[in-house]
Amino acid sequence: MQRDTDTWLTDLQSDGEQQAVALDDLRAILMRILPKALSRWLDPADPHFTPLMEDIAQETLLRVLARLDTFEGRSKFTTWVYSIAVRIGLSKLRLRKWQEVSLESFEMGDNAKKPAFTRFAPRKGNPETTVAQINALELVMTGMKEALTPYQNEVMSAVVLQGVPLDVLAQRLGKDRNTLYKVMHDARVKLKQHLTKSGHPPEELLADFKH
Amino acid sequence: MTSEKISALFEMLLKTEPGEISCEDVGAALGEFAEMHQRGEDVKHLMPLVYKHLELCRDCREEYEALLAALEAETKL
Repeated sequence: MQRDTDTWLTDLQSDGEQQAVALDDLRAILMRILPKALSRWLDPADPHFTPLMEDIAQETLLRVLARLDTFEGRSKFTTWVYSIAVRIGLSKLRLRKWQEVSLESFEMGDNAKKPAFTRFAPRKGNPETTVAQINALELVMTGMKEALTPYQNEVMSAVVLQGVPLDVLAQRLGKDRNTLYKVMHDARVKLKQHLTKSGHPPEELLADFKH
Repeated sequence: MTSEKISALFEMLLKTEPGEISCEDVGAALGEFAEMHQRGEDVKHLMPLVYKHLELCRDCREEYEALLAALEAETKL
């Protein structure tokens, strides 16, 4: 059955059979949409793929019902549902991908104590460019240490240099994603100001990586 | 650590501005933003704070890309 936004809301806010039918229909739609939306992050041939899609669809339905009164009508109802579903799905996929990686192996562990340039892999280029890139890296690492709090430094190192998703770091640190985004934002502002004040604005340092 | 990651950090610093919105705010606006993009509207200028956040937040950007894929799949249902 085709429904517009108002019909979805009416059916899902009702009781009994009318709501049950709408939930079944919405689940069926999600089970057709989700595999296409998430196949970039998990191969559909993976044996966990279909059970995971079912889990995501179920969790999405529960969250949609719980938050139905927060739907503002800024998009179609189904678009709003998909936005919830992909967030749930990608969060699960990120946690799954990083579950074997211990917090200690993020940049905040022993690896961080080694001089940064010993772990730096420059692009192949002329020696002058390589030296300039290593110098830029040293300026950044020094700037992070001097301008940021230890916590900001750890979060920025993990997210930017190690590629840890905010979702994963938030779960490991017992924080929420908004809080970590704010930590990252404050760290970026401080590092940008520090580099600029010390005579090495980011645009100048970036130029060393554009050769 | 690769030069690409350091380079990406510099790009992020260049785009950093005092006023940025949260992942939660972006999540609430993402459906509207995606539908506007789908209609060919100039989302960069119509919703600049969401656009900026998506440039700076990999998690939200991936969710936006997945949402666009979902909307694309919906047209083929």
